Amino acid sequence: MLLEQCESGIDLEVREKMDSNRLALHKEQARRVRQTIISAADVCSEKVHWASSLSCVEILISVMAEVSNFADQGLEQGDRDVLIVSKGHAALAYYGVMSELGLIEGDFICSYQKNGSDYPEELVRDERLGIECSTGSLGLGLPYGVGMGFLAKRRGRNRRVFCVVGDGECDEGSVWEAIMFAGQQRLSNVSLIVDFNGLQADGDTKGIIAWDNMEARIESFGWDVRSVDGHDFEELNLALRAVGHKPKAVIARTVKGKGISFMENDFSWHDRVLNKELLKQARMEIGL
Amino acid sequence: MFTVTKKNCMFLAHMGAQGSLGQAVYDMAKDGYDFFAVSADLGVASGFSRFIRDFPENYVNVGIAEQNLISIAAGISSEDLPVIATSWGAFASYRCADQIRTFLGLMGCNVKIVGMGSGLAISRFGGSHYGIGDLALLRGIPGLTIVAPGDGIEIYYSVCEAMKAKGPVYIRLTGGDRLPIINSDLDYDFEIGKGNVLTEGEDVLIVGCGILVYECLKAERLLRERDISCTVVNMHTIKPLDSEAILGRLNHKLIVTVEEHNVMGGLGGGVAELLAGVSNKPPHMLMGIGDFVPLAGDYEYLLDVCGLSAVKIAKKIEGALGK
Repeated sequence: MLLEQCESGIDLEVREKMDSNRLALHKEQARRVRQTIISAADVCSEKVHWASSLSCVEILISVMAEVSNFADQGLEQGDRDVLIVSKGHAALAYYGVMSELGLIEGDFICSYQKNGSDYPEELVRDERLGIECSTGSLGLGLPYGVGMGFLAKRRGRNRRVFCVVGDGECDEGSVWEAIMFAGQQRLSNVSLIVDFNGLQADGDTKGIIAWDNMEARIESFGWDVRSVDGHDFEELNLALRAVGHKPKAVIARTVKGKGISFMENDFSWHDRVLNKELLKQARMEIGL
Repeated sequence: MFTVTKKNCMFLAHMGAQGSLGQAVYDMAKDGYDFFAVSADLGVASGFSRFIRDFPENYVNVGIAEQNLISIAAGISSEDLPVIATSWGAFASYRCADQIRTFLGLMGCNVKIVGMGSGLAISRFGGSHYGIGDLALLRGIPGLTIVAPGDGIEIYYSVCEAMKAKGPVYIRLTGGDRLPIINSDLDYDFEIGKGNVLTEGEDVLIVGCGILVYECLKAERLLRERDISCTVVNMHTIKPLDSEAILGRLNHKLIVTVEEHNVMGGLGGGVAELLAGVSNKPPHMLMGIGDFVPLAGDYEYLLDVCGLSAVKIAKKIEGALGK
């Protein structure tokens, strides 16, 4: 039945509700990851992309701990699902989730941004850390992931590729070259998640390159597109588990700076120093 | 695989630059090497028609999108599978410089970019397809090997050796549908990073790369008639540069670098950087395309305009020697 429907092009909806224990676990994980992110200010007095990291916490947990086999260390590298965080400036959120899942040591934060550190401000390819692709030069993660997904499909492997991009990042034409290619090749093993927080370095995306109709634009290139609340684990779970023979995009509506009142929806927190006074307030809000 | 026989060298010369590339790729696949080929809508122009017909599972056309060409190639190479990616040299370098910097430079991906028709090979287009500065752009990419083969058999070996070597390579093809032959001796040996000495002389050390090595050899003959003897080195690998081939020959009166590239930042630049740290050395004359864009014409016309024909090379060397 499943195969038949897939071949006839009808996408199956996964309607199972997420187990309530898992939901509670993920919410707790998200809370702790946000604490980790903010605690970076204890060891790092430089600018940090706080708000960009805070907006994608639920997205990263959903991919890494719920819908993929990413965290399964027992698998051969070629069989493990891939997560590419193309918005490399959300590295802190990625390290935070890795630490939460026990895949890296919790004290990584001590060397964050330090000289010779494995944990810089943007992601650098590192097999040990599960980082397949160096990102930070925006618009490069998706095409790289699409290349990986293409090889997996050509060679009959089950490996899936998840790629998180920012909505501002979609200004890069290279994102769309990859979207067109993945649509053409029907790469059903590729999932794009847009961290749609509505802000970029210089302000509101609406006043720069507006993406009001992003769903229709991606859909027009042969993708299956869903919109969800990017902080809602159940919605993310349903959208990311959808099957079908097209590549999948999940437009995850998020709040940039989620969890810290003075950062939420303020574009200046894209990349900024968190001073002592504000750090105190942030720590309080996040339960530290 | 082709061995170096007169017949094979003639055959590849007649196949041209892209024909030699296509022959190498086809033979590698036929011999059971596992690799992927990707092109930005230039599969046929790359000489891949037979390869695509017989090995369709190992090829993909990403469309006219050179940035995506490099990114997709990098993604396919993620498990260290060699991937060959082709476009015209002007586009396979400048158009996708950031992709090359990130994937081949920062990440060391196992991608072999072939920049076809570089230099002045696409002469009649009037500039859009000139590959004048690709070497200058790419020499600064960390860890990138750069090869600029001089004839058909060398293109063939460059491709095969680049595929077997682990890590990123840029192969710069010059020349068109008919190539000169500079290598046909049975003892011809190609090794990435090791220049080939074609003639031994005492007065001038001529270091060339690409199809232009043939003009260097013709210039050597012209100069010999005027009692100037030249050592001609085919420096087919631009990076890493074979420093021994140069530093071991500082007893010449003049060093001349010759390239179908902007006189800045290419082979001549690399040799000048090498010589900068040496105290007792002969003067170094850099010959290449001046800092201008030549107007369209046939290849011979452009070589003449740029002062890179054998006659002009010989004249300039004579002048430099004060003869």
